[in-house]
Amino acid sequence: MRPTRRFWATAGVGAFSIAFATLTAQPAYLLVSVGVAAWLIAAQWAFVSVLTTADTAITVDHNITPTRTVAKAPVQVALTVDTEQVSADLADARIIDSPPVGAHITAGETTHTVAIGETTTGRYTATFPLAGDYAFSGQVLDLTDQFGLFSETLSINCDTTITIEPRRPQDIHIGEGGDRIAFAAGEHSALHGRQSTRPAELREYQPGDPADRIDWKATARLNDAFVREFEPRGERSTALLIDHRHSSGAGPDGETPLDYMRAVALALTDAARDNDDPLGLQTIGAEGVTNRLPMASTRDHSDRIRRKLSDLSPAAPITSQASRTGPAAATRRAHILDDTESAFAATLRPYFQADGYVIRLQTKPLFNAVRRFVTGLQGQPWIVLFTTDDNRAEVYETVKVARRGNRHVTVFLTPTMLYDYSDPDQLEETYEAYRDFEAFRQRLTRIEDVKAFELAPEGRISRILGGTRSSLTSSS
Amino acid sequence: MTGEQLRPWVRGAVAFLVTVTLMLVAGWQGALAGGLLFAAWWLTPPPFPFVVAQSGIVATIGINITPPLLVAEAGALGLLGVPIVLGHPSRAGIQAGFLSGVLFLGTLLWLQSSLTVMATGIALAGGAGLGLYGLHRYERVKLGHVSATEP
Repeated sequence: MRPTRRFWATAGVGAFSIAFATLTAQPAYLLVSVGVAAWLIAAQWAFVSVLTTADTAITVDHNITPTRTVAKAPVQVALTVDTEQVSADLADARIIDSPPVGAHITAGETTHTVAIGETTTGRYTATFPLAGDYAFSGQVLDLTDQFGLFSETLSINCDTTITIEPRRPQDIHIGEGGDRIAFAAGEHSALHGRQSTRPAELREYQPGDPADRIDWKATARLNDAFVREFEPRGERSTALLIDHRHSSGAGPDGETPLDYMRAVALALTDAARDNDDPLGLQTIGAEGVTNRLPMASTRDHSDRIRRKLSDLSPAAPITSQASRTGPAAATRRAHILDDTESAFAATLRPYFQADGYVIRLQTKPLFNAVRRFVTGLQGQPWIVLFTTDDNRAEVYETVKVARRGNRHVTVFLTPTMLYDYSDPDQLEETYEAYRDFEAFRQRLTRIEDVKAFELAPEGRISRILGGTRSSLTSSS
Repeated sequence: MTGEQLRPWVRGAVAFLVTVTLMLVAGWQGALAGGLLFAAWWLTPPPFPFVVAQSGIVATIGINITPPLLVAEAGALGLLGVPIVLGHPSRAGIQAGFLSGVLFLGTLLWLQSSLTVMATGIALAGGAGLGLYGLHRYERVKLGHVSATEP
C-alpha cells in the first residue's frame, strides 16, 4: 500500500495541529490531530478490507484474438474486469496490461479505467514483428481508496500466450523447369519417388514398369518378366536440412527464399506429425550448424521443430567469398593455367589443384554440416535439403555426400534471380539466369536417388517464363 | 436512496448543526467559524471540514464540558464518520467507524491526565504512526506479499 500526496497533506494538517497546540500550550487543539489520525486509520482500515477481498470480488479476463497468427498481423487484446462484487467505493481503479517486449501497440491503450460495481472491457490492438511464443503475464490492477489517500497495485497474471508465426508466402511454386508439380502436405511420393522396401507379391511385368523393379530371380524361375510389388510403407523417417545463410534473406520481407523454404518445411512437418513419422531437423548458418533436433515422432518434438522453423532467420553474411567452382571446372582451369607461363598463372595455379579444391570445400558450412550429419545417421531417412543456388558447387557436392548409402535426397532450390526484385524490367537477363539455374537443377536430378525442385514465387516465375515453359522443359 | 446518495445530505446537515451551535454560543465569531466550515465542506475532502470545525469549537466554545460543546463535538465527529460509514455499508465500514471513535475517545480521555502538551502530541503522532504501519503490515501479510514471520 502506498500513501498518496493527499495522505501526506492530511497527515501534515494533523502534525501542524500538534505543533500549534504545543506552541500555544493549548491541549484542546490536539483534538484536531486526534480526529485526523483517527480518520486516516479508519480510511486505511476500510481500504484494507476492500483489498483483502479483492481476489474473490474482482475477476479479470484476458482475451487475445487470435491466439495464433502471423508476424505483423493485428492482434486484438481485450481486458474484462468484473467488479460487481465490490461493495465499497474507490476513487480510482485501473487495469494495466503489460504486453510482451516486442509487441507494438497500433491502436488503443494498455491502461483502462475500471468502473467500480460494473463490468468494464478495455481493448487495444498490437502487432508482433517477429515470430515466436509470447506471454502476457504482467497484468496489474491499480486501486486507490475512495478518499484518494492510499493506492495499491495487485498482480493479476492471467498468463495468456500467443504464437506468432512468420509470414508465409501465398504463391508457392514447386516445380521442374517452370512446370508446377502437385504437392499436398502428406503426399511425399511425388517428391522423393521412393517406395517401401518390404516385399509383398509378384505380378507380371507391364510396359512402363521401371526396370529396377523387375524381380530377376522370379523372372528366371518363371520364364517371364515379373516385378515385385511392395507393401505400403509404415513409417518414414525424414531429415530436414535447411540452409539459412545470408543469401536466403534476399527479397522483400515475407517473400525471401527462407520464407518459401520455411513454408514447405512446415508443411512437411505437419504431414510427418499427422502420420506419426519420425522427423529430424538441422539448420545451417554461416558458421555451421545452428540447430539440431534428432529424429523423433512425438507431438512435442514436432512442435519444437515448428518453433525452430518459425524462429529461423537469415544468418549474417560472412566476409570471405565462397568459390562456385566445381571439381571439373577446377581441373579444366588448372589445365589452362598449366599452359600459361606468367606470374599471374603461377599465383593462381595452386588454387585450382584438386587438393586445394577439397580443402576449400571443407570450409563450406553446408557441405561440412551435411557430411557430418550423414556420417552418424542411423537407418535411411529421406533427406530433404532446402538451399539457395548461391553456392552451386557446394550444393552439388553436398547432395552427392547426402545420397551416399543409397539414401533418397530431395533438394528444394530457390533460384536467386527470382527473388531479386531490384529491376523487375530486366526480364531477358533474368530469363537467361533462370536457364542457367535450370541446367544446374537438372544436373542435380541426374544424380541417382536425387530429386531437385525449384522453389519460387509463382507470380514471379510465371512472369519470367511466360509462354516458354513447355519449350524450356522439352529442350532440357 | 443508497448510502452513497445520502452522504452529501447527511454531511451538509451535520455541518449546519455545528454552524448553528457555534452561532448561538459565540455570536458573530461563531457565524464566521460556521462560514469557514461550510466553505471547507463545499470545497475540500472529508477530513478538512472536521479540522475547521474542531478549530472553531476550541476557539469559540473552549473545552469546558457543556451541552453546546457536546452537540458541536458530535457534529464534528459526524463530519469525519459519515463519509466512511455511508461509503462502506458493509461490516468493514462499521468497523472503521468504530475504530475511529475508540481512538478519538481514548485520546480525549488521555488528555485529562497530567502529561504535558508536547508529550501528549508526540504520543499521539507515534500512536497514529504505529496504527497506520500496523494496518499496512497486516495488508501485506494478508495479500501474501510478505510472510508473517518476515521482518
